[in-house]
This record gives sequence, C-alpha cells and structure tokens, in this order.
Amino acid sequence: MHRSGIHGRPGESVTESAVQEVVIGLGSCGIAAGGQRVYDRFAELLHPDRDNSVLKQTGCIGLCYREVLVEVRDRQGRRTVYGEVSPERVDRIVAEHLRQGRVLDEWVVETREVLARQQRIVLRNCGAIDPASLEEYRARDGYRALEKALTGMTPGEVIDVIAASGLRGRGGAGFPTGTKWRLARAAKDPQRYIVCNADEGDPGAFMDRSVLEGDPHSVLEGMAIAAYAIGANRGYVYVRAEYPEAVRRLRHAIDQATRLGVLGTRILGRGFTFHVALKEGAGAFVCGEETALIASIEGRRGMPRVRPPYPVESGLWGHPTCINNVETLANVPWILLNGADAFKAYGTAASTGTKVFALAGKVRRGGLVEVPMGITINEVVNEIGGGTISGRPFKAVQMGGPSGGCIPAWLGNTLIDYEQLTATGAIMGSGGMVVMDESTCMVDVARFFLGFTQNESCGKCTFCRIGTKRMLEILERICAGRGKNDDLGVLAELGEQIKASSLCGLGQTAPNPVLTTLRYFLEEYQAHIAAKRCPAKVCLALVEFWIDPEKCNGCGLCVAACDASAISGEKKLPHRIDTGTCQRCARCLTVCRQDAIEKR
Amino acid sequence: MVPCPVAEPSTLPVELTINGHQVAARPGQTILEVVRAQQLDEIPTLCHDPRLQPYGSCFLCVVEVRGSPRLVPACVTRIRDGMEVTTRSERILHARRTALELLLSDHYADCLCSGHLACPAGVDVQGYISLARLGHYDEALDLIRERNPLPVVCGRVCVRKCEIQCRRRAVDEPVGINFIKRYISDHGDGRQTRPGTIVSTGKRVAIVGGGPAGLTCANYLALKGHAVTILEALPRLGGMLRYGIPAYRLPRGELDEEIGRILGLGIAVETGKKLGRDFTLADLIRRDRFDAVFLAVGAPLGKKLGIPGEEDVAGVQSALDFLGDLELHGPPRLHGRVAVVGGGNSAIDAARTALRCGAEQVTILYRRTRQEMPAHPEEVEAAEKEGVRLELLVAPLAILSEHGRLTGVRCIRMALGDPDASGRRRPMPVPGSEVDYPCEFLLPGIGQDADLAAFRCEPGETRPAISRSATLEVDPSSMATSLAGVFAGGDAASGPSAVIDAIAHGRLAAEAMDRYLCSGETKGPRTPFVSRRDAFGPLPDWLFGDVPRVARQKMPQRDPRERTKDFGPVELGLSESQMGDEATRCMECGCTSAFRCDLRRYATEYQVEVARYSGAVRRHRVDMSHPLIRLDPNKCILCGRCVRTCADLVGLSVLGFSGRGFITVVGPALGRPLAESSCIACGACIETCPTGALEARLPHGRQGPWKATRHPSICGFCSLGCRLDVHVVTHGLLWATAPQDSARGGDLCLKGRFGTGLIHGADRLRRPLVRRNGRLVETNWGNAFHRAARVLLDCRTQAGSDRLAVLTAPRMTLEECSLTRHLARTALGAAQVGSFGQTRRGGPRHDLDSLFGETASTCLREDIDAADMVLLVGADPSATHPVLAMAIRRAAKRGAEIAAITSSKIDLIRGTDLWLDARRGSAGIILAGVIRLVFQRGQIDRRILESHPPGLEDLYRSVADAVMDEVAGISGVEASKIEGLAERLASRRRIVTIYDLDDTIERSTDDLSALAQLLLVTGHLDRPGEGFLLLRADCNAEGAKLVGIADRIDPGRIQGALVISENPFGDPGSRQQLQDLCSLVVIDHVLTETAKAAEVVLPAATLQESEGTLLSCDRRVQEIRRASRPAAGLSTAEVLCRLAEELGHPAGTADLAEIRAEIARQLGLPPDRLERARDRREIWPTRCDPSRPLHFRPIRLRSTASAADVYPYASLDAYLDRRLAGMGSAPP
Repeated sequence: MHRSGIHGRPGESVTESAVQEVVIGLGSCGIAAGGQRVYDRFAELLHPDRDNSVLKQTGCIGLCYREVLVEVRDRQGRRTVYGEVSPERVDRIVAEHLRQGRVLDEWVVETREVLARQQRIVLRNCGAIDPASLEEYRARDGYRALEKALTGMTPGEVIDVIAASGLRGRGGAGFPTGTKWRLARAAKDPQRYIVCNADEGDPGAFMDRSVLEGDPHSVLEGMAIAAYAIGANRGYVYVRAEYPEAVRRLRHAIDQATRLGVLGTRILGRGFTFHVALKEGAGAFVCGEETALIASIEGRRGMPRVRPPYPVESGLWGHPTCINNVETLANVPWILLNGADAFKAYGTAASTGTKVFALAGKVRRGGLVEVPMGITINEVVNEIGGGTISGRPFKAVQMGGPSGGCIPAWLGNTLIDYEQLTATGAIMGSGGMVVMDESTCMVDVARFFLGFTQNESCGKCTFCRIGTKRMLEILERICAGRGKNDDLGVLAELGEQIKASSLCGLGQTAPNPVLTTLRYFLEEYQAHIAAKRCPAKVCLALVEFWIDPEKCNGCGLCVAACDASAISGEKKLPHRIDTGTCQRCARCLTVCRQDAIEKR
Repeated sequence: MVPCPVAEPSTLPVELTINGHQVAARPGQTILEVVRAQQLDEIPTLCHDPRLQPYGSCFLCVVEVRGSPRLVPACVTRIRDGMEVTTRSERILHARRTALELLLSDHYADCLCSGHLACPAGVDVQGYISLARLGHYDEALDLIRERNPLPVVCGRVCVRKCEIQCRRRAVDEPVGINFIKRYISDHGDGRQTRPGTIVSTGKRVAIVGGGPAGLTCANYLALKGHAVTILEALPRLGGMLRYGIPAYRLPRGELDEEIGRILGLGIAVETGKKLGRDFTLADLIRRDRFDAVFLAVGAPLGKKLGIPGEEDVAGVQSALDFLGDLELHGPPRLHGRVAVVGGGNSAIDAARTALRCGAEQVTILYRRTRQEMPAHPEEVEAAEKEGVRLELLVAPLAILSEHGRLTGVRCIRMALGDPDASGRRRPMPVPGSEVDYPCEFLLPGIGQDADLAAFRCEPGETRPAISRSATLEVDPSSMATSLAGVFAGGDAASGPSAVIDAIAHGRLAAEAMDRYLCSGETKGPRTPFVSRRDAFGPLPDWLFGDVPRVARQKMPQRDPRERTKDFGPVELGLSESQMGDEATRCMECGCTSAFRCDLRRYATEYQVEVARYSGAVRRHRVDMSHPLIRLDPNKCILCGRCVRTCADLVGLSVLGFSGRGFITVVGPALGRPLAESSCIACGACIETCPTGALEARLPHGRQGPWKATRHPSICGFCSLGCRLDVHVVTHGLLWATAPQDSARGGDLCLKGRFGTGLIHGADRLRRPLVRRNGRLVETNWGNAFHRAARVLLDCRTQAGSDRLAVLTAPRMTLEECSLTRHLARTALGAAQVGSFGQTRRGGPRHDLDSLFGETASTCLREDIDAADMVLLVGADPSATHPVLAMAIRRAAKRGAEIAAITSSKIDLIRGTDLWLDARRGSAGIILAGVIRLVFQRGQIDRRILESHPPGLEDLYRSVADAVMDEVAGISGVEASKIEGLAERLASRRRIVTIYDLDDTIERSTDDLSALAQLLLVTGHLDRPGEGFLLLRADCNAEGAKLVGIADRIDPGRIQGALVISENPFGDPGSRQQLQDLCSLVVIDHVLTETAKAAEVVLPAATLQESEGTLLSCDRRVQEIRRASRPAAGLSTAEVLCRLAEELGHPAGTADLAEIRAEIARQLGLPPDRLERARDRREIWPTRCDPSRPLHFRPIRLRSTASAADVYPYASLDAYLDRRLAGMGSAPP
C-alpha cells in the first residue's frame, strides 16, 4: 500500500520511486495563506518531463500556524515538509530540492514534536490524500467499511459495534452514538433520515471544515453506514454556506460516490438505497441546534423547539431523524474496519477514542490536532501547542466555544473527557480550544462570547433574547469602567436563570463563558469595577497610554497619528501623552517603531 | 410521502403528581393543559394559544419537574407517568417575575395616557375624551364618575394636572381636557348610574366633613352598600367648594345638584355638627357605634401673615374668611382700595370677588414673580382682564393703621435667590426698599391650616397621630390613620391642596374602608401595572413629527366689564363643534388594549419592577399603513402567536420573524408595511396578540380604550353564518371578535370583524324620513307608517296589486321573512315578493329539486376539516366566503388536495396542479366529460349499479358526445387534468364539493345538475362527511326560500314597491329596468340610492339589534340574540308588524316564538321543532336527503355565455365595501 503523508516518520524512506511528488496543502487555511499562488508557481516552474514530478494537493495538514505547507516526496523516498512557503521560496525549492536533491533545512517544519502526542483517526486522511480523488480515498481503505457492513453485517450488528466502541457525539453534548442509532432504528415510522450536522459555528472552530475539505468521502461513508444501520434512505448534509470550499468538495464527492455506486439506489448491488443531498445553511449559529437545523432544512426559519420529542422520534417532516456531527461520522468507517476494541484502546472508560481540537488563540503552534481522550489540557497546550506565543505560562483555555467556558491554568491537569470538562463549568464542545495568556482580559472574553450568542439568539425565548442582552450590557459597562457593585450579583443570577429557562442548548449554555470566568477570575471583574483597572490592559477605557521616555526617540510618528492631538513633545526629544485628551484609540501604539508606547 | 404514524394510542390515563395531588390525565397532554383542565392552579402564559401547536417562548409558564435541574415550560412539556410537578414555588415565581421584567425592559410603550396617569383620582382621560368625541356624553360622564363623583365641580375648578402632563405639549399645546370634561358634565345625563341594586352590608360609616373628600368617600362607600352619615360643621355641604370658591367660578345651582346626586344614594347628613365642639371621635366610635370613620375636616384656617397689627386692625381679614363670610352672610360692601396678599388660587379668588363686592381698586401683592404663582395662569389672566393689578416681588412688613382702622400695608421689595426645596427661586428682601401701599382692606391669602384643635379634647386612645407638618398622619396607600377603623383625607391629611387631590383621597379611603369593613384588612388596593415610555428616557422627536399642529380651543368668557358686576359664571363652556375639535386633538397616547393586555395583567399580578433590568430598548415606528390593523412592534413580545396563527389557522404567512438576537422583530416580509403585504385583514392576529402590538383600527374614528360587554351573535355578511362576539360599549359603539367560548375560537373575516362595528356607525339612519316638498325630512314613526301605508295602498288602488312588489334582500331573520311574507301577501296583496338582487343573479335556482327534492347543501362546512379533497366548482370562497377559504387552506396544509374548475386563477388554487382552468361557461361540459369517463371506465358506484335508479341511461346517453378531445377543445383544459379529476372522483377519497349558487360569472348550463349526478354515480354524496356545499350571497337566503319570499321578480311590471335592505337604484342598469317604479317605500340601514328616491324611508335594525333565527348556507339553524338596541328604537320585525297594522292587516302576533311555531305549522313540522333545532344548532329539519329515490336526468351539452353581473344588491355589502375602501384616512 502506498503510505505517504505526514503520518510516516520524516526522513524515513518509504519506497523508492522514479517520480517525485509535490503536495500542497489547499485546505481553506492553506488557500488563505496563499496556497493557490504557491501551487500555481510550482505548476509554472515544474516541467512535466524534465522534472519528473507530480504536483498534488491535499486538505488541511493540521499545522495551520506554518501555512502554506508543501510536502516533497523525492526520489530518494524522503518526505520533507516545508512551511511558510511563498511563491518566491518555490523557486529555490524547485531549483535546489527537486532538481538537485538538496533539502532546504532552514524551511523544513519539524513535525515530530507536534505529532508525537497525536493519534489520527478522524484526520487519518487529512493532509495525506487529494480530497478530490476518490481513488486515493479508496487506496486508503475507503468505502471498505461500508462494503463490510453491507456484505457481512446486519444493521443491528453495525449498531452493536458502534455502541461497543463507546463513540459519543462529537458535536458537543457527547450523547452515545450507538444509543442514538438504536433509538432511530426502533422508531415505527419506516421513513427515516440521517442528517450530517456540518453547521460548525463556534468562533475559532474549524475541525469540521477541515474534515469536509480534506476527506469528504469519510463523512459520506460514515453517513451511508449510519443510514444502513438505522434504515434511512435519505440523508442531508447541512453545511454552512460560508464554507464554499467544503461545499464544492462535498458536491464533487457525492457525485463521485454516486457514480461509483456507494451512494444512490442499490448500493454495491444490494437492496440498500441511500440518497444524500446538500443543504446550505445561511450562517445562523442556532441552526447547529438540531431542532432549528430541522426547521431550516424544512424551509422554515431556524428556530429551536422543545425536546422531547427528540429528532430520533420526530424530526424532518415529522419522521425519525438521526443527526450526527461531521467528526462523529468520520470516526464510523475506521471503527467498523478496525473494531470497537481498537477504538476503545484510546481514551478513558467513559470517553473513548480521540478528539479533534482546533487549537487557537495565543498558542505557539495553532492548528488542528487530534488527540486521544484522557490527555490533559496541559499536554495539549504545552506539548502539542508548544505553549504560548509570549512564552509566559498560559492563563486559561476557553473550550467549547460560546457554549463552553474558561478553564484556568491551575486546572490544566484536567483530563480531556466529557465528564471532567463539564465539572469545570466548561464543556467538551465541538472542539474549539482557545489558549489565553496574561494579555487576555477575562471580562473581555466573556463579553466577546456573550456578544456572539446574543447576536445569534434566534429571538424566541425571553431569557435568551433579552436576558443575554442585559448581561451583555452589564459586561460592556464593566469593560467601559462603569461597572457597579451589584453588577456581579445580577450577572450571576441572570446567568443561572437563563440557563434554567431556555428552550435550546444555545440559551441554556449562553451564560457559561460569563459564569466560568466569574467563578475562576472573580478578582479580575472586581478590579474592573472597584479599582477601575483592567489587569490585562485590554479594556481601553481602563488603561492609560504612556510613552517610555527611555525608548522614545521623538520621531513624531505618533503625533501625526493622533486625531485627538493628545501627544506633544519637541522633535527628537521624548514625547508625552496627555491622558485627559487621549481617546485610547491605540493608533500611536501601532505606529510607534520604537515600541515606546505602553498601556498601563 | 408516507404518512407519519401516530404514537400508539394508549387508552390508559397517565398518572402524575401535581402540587402533591395525584392526578390522572389523558396521554399526550401537556402539563399546562392538565393544570388548566383540572383547575389545579393558574399558570400564566403569553405565548400559548390552545388553538396552536405548543411553542414555548415566553417562559412564563415555567414549573418544576422533579429530576429536572432546569425549570420546565408547562405549555410544551408532555406529561409522563410518575411525573412530579410543582407549579408554585419561590424559584418559579422569581423566574416568572424575571421573565416579565425582561419583557417589559424592552417594551417601549405606554399603557395609559399621561393625562390619565397625572390625574390624582386616576380618571380615564383618554377614554372619556374618545366617548365625548363620538357624542356619547352619558357614557363619558359615567366613566368619569367611576373615579370622580364631582365631574361638574372639576369641569370648572380643576387644577388640571392632566393637562400639564398631556403629551400634546410636545406638538403644540395640551388638549383642553378640562374644557371637554366641562362639556360632558353639562351635556351628559345628570343622573347617577347606580348598580341595579345596592346590597346593604349593615356597616355604618361616619364621615366628618362634607367637602370634596368627604363627599367622594361617601359616594363610593354608599355604592358599596354601607350606611353613610356625613357630619358637617357648617350649615351646608361642599366645604371649600362652597366656602372657598366663588360662585362666578362654580355656580351654586350646579354645585347643589352635584351634591344632591351623591346624597341621592341614600346618605344621611347632619349639618352644624362640628368635631371637637359638638362631638368627639370617641363619641362616634363608642357612643354612636360607627364601624369606621373618615376624617375630612379640611384646612379651614387661613394662615396669618405674622406681622405686627394683623390681629387687631379693622379691615384685615384672611382671604379664606372673606370668601366664607360671603357665602354665609351674603356679599359684604367694600369700597376703596383692597390689597390681597398671595399668589395662589384663593388669593386670586379673593381679589376677583373683592372687585365684585364694590372695591374700586384691587391689588395683589406677591413676593415672587408671575412665573412662580401657584394659581392657574388662566385665572391670573382673567383677574387681570377684570382690572386686578399685580404687584410682584413685594412682601408685607407691617400693617399701617390709624385709630384701629387699616390705612395701608408696608412692604419690602424682593429679589429672587437660589431655588428652595420646592424648586422655585427663593425671594430675598432687598434692604432699604420699603414701600407703602395705602389700602382700606387687606386680605391675606397665603395658605391654610387644618383645625387640629378639634382633636385636643379627644381621649388619648382616639387621638389620631399628627404629622410634623400639622396634618393627620395617614398611610398614603390606604389613607388609614394611626387608629384602627379611622381614615382621613383631603386637606386635613395632605395640607392644603387641590380639589382633585381631595377626591382622590376620598376614593382611595372608600376602597380601603370597604376592604376594612368587609375583611378587617387596611391594606390599600394593588395598583395596576403601568408601562411608560418616558421611563426609557426622553421621547424622540419623531414620535410627534407627523402630528399636524392644531391650535387649542379658547374657552368663551363673558365680557370682563359685564361679569364683574355680578357673581354669574365667567366661563361659558365650549360649543359642540369646539368640543369635537378639541377632542380630536387628543393623540390617544395610551394603549387601546390596556383592558385586555395579558402582559399588563401578569405584570400587576407578579408585582414586577421594570427598572431591575433596564438597558437598551427597541424603538420602532408604528405601522399605520393598514386601514384596519395597527402593528406596533414596540409592544411586541415576540411570542409568535400572530405568526403562527396567520400561518397555521388562516393559512397565509403574512407575518414572520426577521433579524436575530435582541433585534428580532415580527412583521411582514422584507420589512414592508402591512398594507403592502398579502394580508386579508381577517384580524385573527389581533385576536391572538396578548399585548397591544396588533390592534384593530376601529371604524369609529376613535380607539378608546373602552370597557365593553360581550354578547354572542352571528355575522350576517355572507351565508356561512359565522358566530362572533359583539362587544358593546353603548349603542352605535361596538365591535366584533371571534367567539371566546369554544376551544377552536372560530374564524372571522374582514367583514365580520370590522364590518359589524362599521354598520352601526355614523351613517346609520336613526329617524324615519318622509318626502315633503320633494325633500326627505325626519319625522316620527307614527307619521312615517301612516305615509308608508298611504303610498303603497294608493299605488295598489291606482295600478293594481299586480304592479305592486315587495323586494327584499334575504338578510333578515326567518321570523322577519315570515312577517314580510304576511305583509306582502296578506296586507298588501303584492304580486311579486322576492329579491331583486337574486333575480339579477338568475335565481332562485331549482336545479336539484328533481334530484333531491330541494336545491340545498348536503354537508356541513366542518366536513372540510376531515376531507381528503376539496373540489371547487365555480366558487371562489376566498373572495366571497373568506372563512371557508381558511378552512380549505388548513385542509391543504394537513395534506388534503384542492381541485378547482374555474375560469379565473382564484387564490385557493395556488400550489395545486388540479386547477381545471376552464373557459367561462364550460364547466358543465367538463363535468359531462368526467361523467362519460366514469361510465366508460366502469367506475360507477356499486350501489348505484345495484339499485339502478331510473334515468341512468338517459344521463349516459346525454353525455355520450362529451368525448375527451372535444371537451378539452371546448373548455381549453388539458385532457390529462380532466382525466386526473375523474380518477380522483373514482377513488375512495372523502370529497367535499363547493359550488356558489349566486355566482353569475362561472355558471354554465346544467353544471350543478352534472356535478350532483357525477358525485352520485361516483358515490361521493351519501357517505357522512362528504357532499356539496352550496354557497349563497345572503345570510338567510335559505330561510327566505323556505318561508316563500324568494320568487323571481319581473322588474318591468313594478310600479310600486316596498324595498327592504336592497339597493337596485345603486346600479344604473337596474334603475333602467325599474323605470316604472314610482311609489317607493324603503326599509334600510343607511340612506341608499334607492332610499333617496323613496317617499318614505323607515330605519331598519341590523342583525346585532335583532332577535330571531338564521339559516346558514349549510342550513344550520342559528339563534341570534339582541346585542344592542336598534338605532332608531324599533327592530325590523316591529317595523314590519306596525306597517302591517297600519295597512289594516295586523300580523296576528309579533311574538317571535309564535311566528316560529306558525312557520313550522306551514312546513308541516312539529311546532317546537325549530326551537329545538335552534338550541342545538342543528341542521334544518328538512335538509335534502340523498337517500330518497333518485331519478337521474340528462344533461344538456352547451357552453354558456357568461353574464358578468356582480353588483351587490344588498345595501349593507355595498355600503361596507365603500366604507372599507375609504378607511385608513382621517377619522370622521
């Protein structure tokens, strides 16, 4: 079998080959970093015959902090990953590595450290194969799990395997997938649906997008297996319209799969029929909530309704509907092929397998990581993520997006496990992990996430619609230095009430970022209110701008930038800022070349 | 699509615990449904409507369910076995209160107008202004009296706190509220409206002091049934009203009448009895055994100036004593110069009175400037006009006298310093600026004190606590003093203040005393919650930007030179038109749903504090684009009831949500105005709205709010006979809503909801008219009947009875139809009796008589609810019977198929592919084609084949030529569609077929006959829940037909006619046909074109003013009861009886029950059959029976040229259409 990609050990010789391959990471992250231009430059320079090279593309490799990534598999069988490749660097790579076989060590990305703690199940193909190539997917056992299910297993046996594996819903709530399938299968209504929830909406989360872009067939295969298991003949992928690349690749994959006969009528020549349609969501965060998602697919405004009845009893158009997240479904083929025990070998007793995280924020090595459950937060942040960019210890990790919470550094040894994370007040969530250092203001973080949920509330429930607005107003007031003593009491009380009295997950979890920061960082709130001070120097209303006379060279750039004319000083002599007139726009901070302006 | 299987129907009840009680309930019910059905508690909810699917958004209905960490919304949570529910706990109440507080923190709306709020007595200012604007002065006066028993007094002397707060100030000047009140008190019915009987409570109350506070308290206590005795120190009642306010402001005749009305409630009065002199409080309680006492002893002592010489110099008297003496002993003779000290109303009153007592020069000395004067500016102005001089910024220092006789007053000039506690700038003496004012009389009017010496002789236990400001100490929420059972109010409790404050005290005390007397509690009443826009900050200018500026009316006054010669009234009162103009200036700021708003009700119940969660508030412009519906997003709480009602019940989706988060808003798509949406103005959204966000724009031009009484009634616009509730404020002022009693609620359309109120409005005929000298003039009933009989009899004599006709729109009750027949056949002997409109429409129809014995509906409108398919043939219910269209849309939503054979693209066929878009007049041929197909395919119902009724072959033969290509060619309908219809008819679907008997455009030869026979041969007529509905244009067309007044009319032969509620002259073509008609008597609601040509016009009563029986198009027998009295005093039945009498043929009986018995006798039914059917809302007993022996008949294959004659001959419809079209512009 052709093994390639960053899964192998770098530098190790896999196979001797006459052809060398150049693989460019063209996930959204790669494209955003200029991957297409790099690709085009390679295409321009490489002569098909003379260079004997094949140009390929793949999805997100996971090392998003070093994009654009280019992997070279040369004739010697060496695998080299170059990071931060620009079209200019392409010239040298072609000239020296591809034509002369000389590795450009200064640009090589050291992946060992990053990958050592990772375990790739969901991301097994991401960054390894061309997502547009069904052959490459099949070459890596693609659709063999479906074949195995259809030819050798009853639907009940499929469900048994999934149940035995302990797989839990990766969308956030962690409901056992096997149980959900069993409930759907048990429904009396013969018309059933399977829905892939690809409405990834958490700020800072991009796991699902990467999987859809990098390995769309694994999701389709997972859906088909699920459909076979529960007895559905129709499926929908509900994907955000803001993921155009994912939509494009999914469409392409559906076409390929249908042509191949692994989707559509009489799949693999058997009596099983399963059609998949794509439904693009218009970017409402709440549509990730399953009842709102159903309403949206049905063509109504995405507003949640009360559960029960759960979608597995009454979902799309009143029929039993099983909704699984992208990551959950991508796990399914692997489990079926490798067995429940192989899956259970990873993780803890209650949380088996792996979890993909989008590591973001003030972390040195941000990107997509897949780790076995049961690893600690510290390991993820410090060992995989390489600690903070500043090098100082991290302050907190925000997990679970707007529904989640902030876990302080002193709880860094918390295991990544559904129950343990919930105990901290945060949640596993869909996998957003935002690392914060001491330059992050926790009140500001709470304000940011609450502002997000407030804007994304569907407006149905009183507490969620108006309650979060009132909480947000209080936070804005605190950040603006107008906090009142009883504000914290109101925040906590209102937060608890919103949690207790909202219909859907969005409302029930919306106060979490506020409540967890209140719980772990109360003194920071108090500093804002009582001392009118923002310890992280983020809330501009509470900081003063100050010019360090030691550093200032009197260049006058800041004077020109200041609209409020708050900066004065003789030329070539240290300047000063009049705090009374200063509007705290921070423009001086950005123009100063001496790093002389500080917040205090 | 495979139908969704319903959960296994379990017959076992669910057992659960609610508030500790074991409860058994039906499976599938929600907690809310169980709690409501079994009356276990009152769970509040705003977003729940039992007619809609559970939703769960307001979170008012939260309850606790054991095992759930969260609170659970009861409206969406289904019960389970073993569930343990708690519906009331601290946590629950807190959550509900918080939900309300959050909703109200974003509720940019006013419950009440600011004038109403400013009135200490809480008089419904907006309500009485709107009643007055519409000319309902009696009701306006009653409304004022609910809170203020002295409207005549206040109409003249009130300080008008309402006007100070009036929102109109932001536009131009405040509304002249008090002018309007005075007009109402001058023109309303003087009698006090008493509750039918006042049940005596056996409790006795003493009221000490007969001033405004005492009188008010006495008034409301007496209305509650307590025995009240007023003890008054002075010889007559009235207190300061009599002894402090001069007669030129408050004429004594009016005052005496007003006091008399209060005493008329049975109040005992003892005058000349002074507390502390003649009796003590202890006497009242111990000796006289009064159960409660109200102290309203006032503040009768004039304040002293506190300067030397004040006490012993002749010519110095307090303004108060001066005014009091005048009343006790008659006007004193004054002369020379008079100085009055002070700037309040008493000082002005004393000054103006002094002028009237002969003073040559009157000067007011006031220590601040004019701006700070507490007296009403209009009073100051009036005094100046009369010649009173103002000396401002002076304060008296000393009395100047010679030989004990006043010669003048020494004053010092003042300058204004910093503001004091009252907010007014403090006057400071200017050193060395002394000035002398020579005068012969000095009247200090600088304030008043309570006479607390009266309590000095009380024993300790009955001595009430006295406050530091030397008044009786009271709890302001109940006016209770420190002594149990003793209450106090008026100036004695508050210090000197306005009459309206005293009235407010009296009323508040009466309420608290009533509660004390009945339950022993002294707590004050819970005040209803009030949402106020100004609580959210200054009002934005755009709120008033569109209001046109209109100057305030000026109060006409007597000439100043004349009026100072006597004590006659100075202000003369507005004219009616002035009052109307002034009332129109009212902007109706208060919410017109204030009395029905659930949000307000719960906010009161849960005692919310709006300020708890203040923050940003959404401020929207009110959508006034729609002529009948007002959409105010400021008041919307996003419960979505309107959105869901419009989508799920009406079948449209005019309203929807847009935006997300806090800024989510409900409205038509794309933020368009409601008028530009697809709204059909059925008003169902208004009905379901729990706040005032959606309100009806009442056709009266004013919106209220009014309290109304609800009467069940029937809509009389189309033939469906929808039930409705009529809300009657007073005659001529009413509106309709869907009935409240049924769970379904019932649908209404534009006409039922808005037309019902409209036809009682301004244009109604209220007096009979006769033609005199070529013009119609008002007359009395006797005269009118006499003339009417003359006109008709003369015509009969001259032209013969065969030239005489009675034309009537079948919109009367069955009983009135019967009387009409008597009048026509017996009394007049008229040759023709029928509806001109129906004749023009080609009716009456008898197409099915030979098949079924009658041409009538064979199923009920409710059958649509269970139908699998609705077939429309030549009918457009959304235009003619909109409520039926709603039922059809609902059926379509749940999966029923809609098929139609129509020539135009009617609204209901949207979304169906079974629209047979036939050329006009070809429906009969299409149906024949379908019959042929059914025969050919052998799809004839088995039972028909077995019984083989006669004529079947004839039918088959008659359609033999209707081959499909031919039919498709003639009708223009694709053959596949016609075949599709045939296929469905051959199936076992449950089909309801709708045909409009009165539609002239779609009609074609033998279409109805073909339709009926097609349904017969396919077996769709004899199963329950199937059949056809024959729609009619008039509400009682079926009744009229049965009673026998639905003949064809031959217009060319009519020379004289009695026309009832029809308007043939409204259409030039018809008028042409009736060219010989010259002797015309009209009975109608409004002055139609026909009425304008009549010799005599007799006002008709509307259905809501009538009693009797109606037969809907599906022949349901419905009773209608009178909701409002007839506008002209007589019901239509009475008019018909009186006319018959006048013609010499009394109807025998005017008793409706006897008339019904007579109808039954003529139809060969048991005498009480009709009564019984009415009670049970049954179907007409002789409803056509499809099981009787059948005789098929051939069909003529002929396409028909259409007669596009759609003029609505019923005058009410035409009137309504015109009015509705013209609405939305300026109020009348």
